[in-house]
Amino acid sequence: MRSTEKIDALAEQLHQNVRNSGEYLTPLERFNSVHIYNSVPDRLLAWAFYREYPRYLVNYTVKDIETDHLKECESLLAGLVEFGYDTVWTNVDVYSVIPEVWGCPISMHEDAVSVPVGAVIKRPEDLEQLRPIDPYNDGRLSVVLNSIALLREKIGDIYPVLGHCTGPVSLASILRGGSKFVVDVKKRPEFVARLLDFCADQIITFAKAQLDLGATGVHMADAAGSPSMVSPQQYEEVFMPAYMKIQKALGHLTPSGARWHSQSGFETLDDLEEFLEKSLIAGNNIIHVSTPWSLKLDIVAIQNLCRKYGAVLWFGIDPASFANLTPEQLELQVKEYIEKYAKDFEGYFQIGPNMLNDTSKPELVKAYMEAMRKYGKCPVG
Amino acid sequence: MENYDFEKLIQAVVDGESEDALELVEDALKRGVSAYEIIDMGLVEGMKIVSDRYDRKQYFVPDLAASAEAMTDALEQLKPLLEVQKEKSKGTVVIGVVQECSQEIGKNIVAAMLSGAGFKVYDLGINVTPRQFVDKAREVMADIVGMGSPMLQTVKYFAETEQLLKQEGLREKIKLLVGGAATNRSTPEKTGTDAWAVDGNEAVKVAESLMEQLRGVQ
Repeated sequence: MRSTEKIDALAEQLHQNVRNSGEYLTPLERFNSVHIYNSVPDRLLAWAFYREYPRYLVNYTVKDIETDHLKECESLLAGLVEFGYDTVWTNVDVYSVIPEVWGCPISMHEDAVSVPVGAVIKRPEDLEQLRPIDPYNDGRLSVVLNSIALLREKIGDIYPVLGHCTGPVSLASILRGGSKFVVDVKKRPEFVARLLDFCADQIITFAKAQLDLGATGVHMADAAGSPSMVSPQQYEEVFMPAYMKIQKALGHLTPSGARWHSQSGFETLDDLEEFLEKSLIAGNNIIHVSTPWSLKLDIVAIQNLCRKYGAVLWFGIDPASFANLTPEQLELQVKEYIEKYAKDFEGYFQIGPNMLNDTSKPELVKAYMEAMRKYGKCPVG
Repeated sequence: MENYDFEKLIQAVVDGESEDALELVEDALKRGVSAYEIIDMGLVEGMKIVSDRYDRKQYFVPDLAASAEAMTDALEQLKPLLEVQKEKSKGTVVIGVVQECSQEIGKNIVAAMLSGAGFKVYDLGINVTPRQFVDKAREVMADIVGMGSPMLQTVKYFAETEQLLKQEGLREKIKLLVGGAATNRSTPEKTGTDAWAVDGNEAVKVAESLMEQLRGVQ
């Protein structure tokens, strides 16, 4: 069977599965209920961050799905059929595809996600040599766009199709080199402001193209943009303008807007709530916490902030749970989290593996979804 | 050399001024100060102030990185003079950021601080595979392999490196020190590694303690 025929068969299977699920809402309606209306859905939104994980179901390598949109779509759809979570994301190697356009060296692997391994801005003046991206013609950006268009065509009526883009700080950090970038923040703040502004423009261009092709929203991953990387003043004065520019440009283009999260590190901030409030004011609409260490945080205070700004708490379960627990233990863990944290916040909450990876056991991913169907019915409790 | 005043060099490290640090190192060498004195009384003293300010949240990662850069540049300048005194090394460390990761800020700071504290450091950079860690560790007869993972999904490579060391019969001779944004105190237990450090400052203390353990074994 050709790849396009397999995709058609998988999409048909997904339509059947949704029709026969016995659940009141489709995954898209569930997503909209939470992300557009902040209203209580029929069941908690099962958010699954899985990227390359389901490729084993269709026998592709990571490189295959990073370079061929048909293979990427087949892998993503096979994952949805097998596990039944509520969201689908494109762009496996979110940190590589844009830097690659300007010749940033990328290390590609058969069984690991590609990584940028060299900077292209050796001196600050090199920034002036970088031309704006053309998302329809440059490098592998079209792989991402073609995936979105195809997924939207095949399952866009029942599933949210999420675009994916690197955030401005990560992009700037890759282009300049991580260490040099962070030293620049101290020594050359004017250059960093110009670099971040340039990066924000490229992200807006790429995200707009994704939205034009039917992405329900665009998720921005910004691992290097953690507030723990810089001082609160630097975060506000140097990083925030880039985030606000992106949000201003994209927020009105889709009901659910552009979205990003601070990947890690904010758990350590003394003034956590103050930071999160600033981030929400800047337009962030997902706050991502991850177990086990986030359990020390005042989750209810964070949820109240989410409610105030119409944002959603992404409650990420430790990947180790999907590698080391028994299905029964995982079921109990999911039950406990739901009862403790989702009650009264169902319209501001999504829960799922923080990240599925090759150590995740398929039977545990299934156990998670079964627990979601069993304990995640809304209103909770 | 009599009563050399290290204050300006200390300040250059504290301010993260690489060019000033290089000039001051050159000046100190001309005045007969030894490379080890420059490190101990200038660079390390400067980094102590930086660490203290970081602990007290007066300094942040960009300050730390700028100071680490100044220190690394100065160490590079002193390297030819240090080679002849290799026997003074506190231990040999192979360090890198694991496969699939390109965030190396923390690793660079740790590498600079370990060098400054007297360890012989082999920095493998970013996107380092378990095989590369193990091969380099064998080649240089490392005491410690230091691995960083800024992302949760790549913490698994700590365990893979540990397994590979075991398979190659090197595990008992080499301690594994891990860190990075996606790790915490429970990471060693989960990954079969030996120790974790939150930052460069702690990494030095932990590395010294691991060396004590290794000497105990010998």
